[in-house]
Amino acid sequence: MLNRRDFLRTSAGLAAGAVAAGRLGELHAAGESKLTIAYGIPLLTLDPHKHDNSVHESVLRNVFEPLLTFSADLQKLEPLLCSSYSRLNDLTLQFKLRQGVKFHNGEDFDAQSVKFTVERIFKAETQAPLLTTYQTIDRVDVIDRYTVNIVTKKPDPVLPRRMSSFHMNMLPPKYYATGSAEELARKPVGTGHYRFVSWQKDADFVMEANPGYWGPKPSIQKVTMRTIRETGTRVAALLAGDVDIATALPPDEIDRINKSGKARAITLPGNRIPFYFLNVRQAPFNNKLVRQALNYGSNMDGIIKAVLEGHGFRRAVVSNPWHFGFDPTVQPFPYDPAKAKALLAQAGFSTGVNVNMHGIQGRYPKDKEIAEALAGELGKVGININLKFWEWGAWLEAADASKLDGLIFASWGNAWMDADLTYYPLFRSGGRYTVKWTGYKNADLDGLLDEARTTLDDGKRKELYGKVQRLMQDDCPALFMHALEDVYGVSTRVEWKPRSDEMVRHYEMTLKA
Amino acid sequence: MSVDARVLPGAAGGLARPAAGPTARRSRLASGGGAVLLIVCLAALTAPWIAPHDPREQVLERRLLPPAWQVRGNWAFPLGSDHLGRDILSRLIYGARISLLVGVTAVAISGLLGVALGLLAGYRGGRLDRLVMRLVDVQLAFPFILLAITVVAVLGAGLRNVIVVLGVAGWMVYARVVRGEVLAVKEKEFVAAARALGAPEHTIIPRHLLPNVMTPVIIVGTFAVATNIITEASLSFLGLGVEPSIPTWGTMLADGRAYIGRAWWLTTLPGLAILLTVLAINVLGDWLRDRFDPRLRNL
Amino acid sequence: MLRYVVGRGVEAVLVVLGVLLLVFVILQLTGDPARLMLPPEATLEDIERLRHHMGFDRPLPVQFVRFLGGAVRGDFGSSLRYRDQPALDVVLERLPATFELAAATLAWSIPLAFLLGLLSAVRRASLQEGAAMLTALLGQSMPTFWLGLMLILVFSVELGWLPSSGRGSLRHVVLPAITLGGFFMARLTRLVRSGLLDVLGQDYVRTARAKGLGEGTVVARHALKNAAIPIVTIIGLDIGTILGGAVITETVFAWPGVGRLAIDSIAVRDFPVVQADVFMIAVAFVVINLSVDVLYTWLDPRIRLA
Repeated sequence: MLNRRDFLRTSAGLAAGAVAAGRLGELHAAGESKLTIAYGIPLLTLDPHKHDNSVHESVLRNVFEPLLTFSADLQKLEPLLCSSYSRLNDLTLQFKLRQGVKFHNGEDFDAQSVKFTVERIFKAETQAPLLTTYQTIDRVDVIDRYTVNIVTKKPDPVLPRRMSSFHMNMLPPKYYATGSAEELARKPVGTGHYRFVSWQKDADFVMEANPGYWGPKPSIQKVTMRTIRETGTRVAALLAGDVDIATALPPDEIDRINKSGKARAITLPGNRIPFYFLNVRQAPFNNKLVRQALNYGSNMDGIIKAVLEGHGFRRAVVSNPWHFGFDPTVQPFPYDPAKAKALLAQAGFSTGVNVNMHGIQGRYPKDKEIAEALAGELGKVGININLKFWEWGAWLEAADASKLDGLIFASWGNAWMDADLTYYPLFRSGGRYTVKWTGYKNADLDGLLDEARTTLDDGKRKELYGKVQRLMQDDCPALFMHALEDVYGVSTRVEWKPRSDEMVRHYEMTLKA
Repeated sequence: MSVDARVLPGAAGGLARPAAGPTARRSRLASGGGAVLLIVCLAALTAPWIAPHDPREQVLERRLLPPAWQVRGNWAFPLGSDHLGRDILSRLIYGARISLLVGVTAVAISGLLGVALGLLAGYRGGRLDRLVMRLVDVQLAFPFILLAITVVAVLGAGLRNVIVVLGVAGWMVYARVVRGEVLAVKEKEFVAAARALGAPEHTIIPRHLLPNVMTPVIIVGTFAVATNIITEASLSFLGLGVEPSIPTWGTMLADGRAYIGRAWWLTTLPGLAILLTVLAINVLGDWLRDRFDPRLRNL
Repeated sequence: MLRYVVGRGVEAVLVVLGVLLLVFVILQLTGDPARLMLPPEATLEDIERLRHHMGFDRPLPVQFVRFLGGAVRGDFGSSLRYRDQPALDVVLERLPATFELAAATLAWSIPLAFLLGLLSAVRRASLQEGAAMLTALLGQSMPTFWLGLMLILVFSVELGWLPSSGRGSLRHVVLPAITLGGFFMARLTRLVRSGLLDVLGQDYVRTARAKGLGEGTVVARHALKNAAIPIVTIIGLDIGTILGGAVITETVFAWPGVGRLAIDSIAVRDFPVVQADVFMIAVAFVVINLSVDVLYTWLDPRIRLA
């Protein structure tokens, strides 16, 4: 029942909100530089160990920092909270930490912070969603106040990338060890350019420049993050001047934004790659020829041109060019309906074949339209699609229960920019997707992937992943599509260059006078 | 009990007023509504013959054509084409089929459930009556939209499940109305006589009670068809509706939403179709009610 | 009178319990939340581990007893989506927004409905009646979200007068309140009109007129009070809808109310929040109907004895 405690809390919240609104009003009047950004999904928690989502990471990376971070072109790792790192042996990486860094609450950043942060990931009460990513780590050894060793169970070439984001954002031990879970979810403390001011769920998250930051201070004093779910409304807010940046916009809005005079649309290749798994347990996809026919007949370029109006990037398989291991010599399938029909006939389906296509809608720009367009195009080469849209929860449930046949939608965003974290979970036999969803099992692929993930030689790894991608194209365990294009609407008063890893770094922005 | 007395002051003992007012104008309005409805029904029935194109035929090159009278328009596509190049006019015509199908079938289901429960509750009285009325209260207190999402989550979206959701969510009104009617009629002489003669329940209910309750049920049902059409559109808007391969006015609206700035015809035309059809049904329902059972004016 | 209120109160509690049972059962049918709490990278073992940690693998009756025991103390557990935050708090935080929208909606739609209904009932066969009734009919025939989108298009994008989304100043609530209230106002107008027509023709009104009382007195004192009864009922029922079901309006305008919270929570199977949310809505609905019942007995003493 609605008890007094909660009622009082709500009323107090209302009162506090009124006071805060008044105070914000004062600050605005004082001429402080501020910026408001709108995302399409809400923040759920402010604890870096409790989420797995790139929007959260993008917002929180302004408040927290990891040891390493990706350069703007996503190809190199740069030291951030460490000053350097080196490999001591096959299993050990040593990090020399930056000195003189303080957390927002005054605690010092040192080796204990690193040890605490890493160990907290593995604690049972944390239930860290991305635990699997860090399971190669065996332990953290503190060598001295500013030196740590991270030791893995097997040689792990991907370890530096693992240290660059998500659960590896560094936490102050005292605060995160003593706070209640509820407090820690609402009040973040890190070392970043910005420190936390306030958060009202599904309303505004506010942060302000950290005066004690160890490096150059950001030029924008106050940043507000807001959730506006509907893309149309998000754009309307941008054009009305209510927000300065709107993220994750659909390509059709580009013209409208550019014509408005108030904002411009910035586009760049995105990190996420949608595709369709093929369930190879039953006909017709148990036959490689049919799987190849699918890729020849999909007319992906035509769909990108028509449905996405050119705002999509055709991909040969499931990697982006900035991923380690990407092989630029592997070309996407050409549109060849004659070849598709010939392959089908060769497989014994000259009169056509019926398959189910399981999609979800409303999670990515134009996901529904693209699925419909695909179904239409494939029908023209004799692959007759029965398109079913699922509610996301039901879809996951059905897929994990092996109930989905034919084509099964999937989308993969690889935050660590390494081929291992794409191909291994998706196509190596024995994993969730190959066991439950698709039944795919290719011994050659397994061998290549196993070797590539424990080889520390970059050159060798690249060679192996090149073979992996060629194998993908021959064996076609999936219908390959495109990478999404990220579209940002940015007010004309903001100077900023977005990144393909979806990280919005407010400390890299300036406001025009 | 008290709620029903509120809703049907007639049943609580007040006078049922005959329709006062300008009946001539009301009838003209009603015939207008009837005509519109007739057109919609005819379109729905004759769709395969009168639609100029296959509503599912997609040709990406001719997407987003405006209506024929505008600059880029083309008379082969009189009302324009959608984001996949499908003809709007054909989709509107076929959409009439589904909208009416959903509306009427869902009403049939709610009606069946509600009438049955209402009859039993009213006739038997006592505990059964109280149980049914409590069920009504519980379901009324349960937000419809939650029921809809949960059904979709469990059973999946799609035409059949949309009809199920609408059917299951709507029985309460019929139950209440029918129960009220039964209570009013139960003590009348012919029923008492039948009982005295030893007629069993399963003859009394269909033969004596049912015909008397049908009038309000039909009237309520008419309005319910209209609400169901709007609800189906709303469910599609939320992504919980009919599968995308089936053209309905609701899915057309949901699809067109993303293009609202630059292709107004994608949302305006299906919206108008819904508006006109629902308007027609409401007007017709008004006339039916005024003519046959004005006590229902408060529903 | 007291016995009546208490009696209705007990029924109200039973209804709320019924709703809790219903929501628990329905949610269990939708599958298991652990899967949706983890990213695509999660393995099947990860899912199983989480499921065990949260207690989802315990037998259903055990889970239900835990749930019910907590619910009566106001403890619905922690939200699964807003990790570590109490589910009831998540709902309560949305209440001010919901109340604000509901209040704004009722503030314009009830007076306008009464005005239009009155006008059309009293001035029969006139232009005002026609216009009023046409407005009401249109209002009831339009999908809510369409109205909302059109309003945004005109008033936010084209004219720039009002904000397109979110909650903040008074200006933010205008378009959502118009959208949410459209259908409700239309329905209420028709009800006011028919209720008044009903009553205006009845004997005691004719008597009042015969006694020479002015039209205004007749209407105000006698007609309105009795016409209020069914109207109050419908307001009571619709307030429940407005409070809990304003999902569509909340979606279109990104209004942070409890309706949208319910949808989002179901989509990610955040059972504790869905349960807390439905519970709050049911309580609000039941409380309002109880008040309506009590108000009703004041308006018409005959009913008390029914």
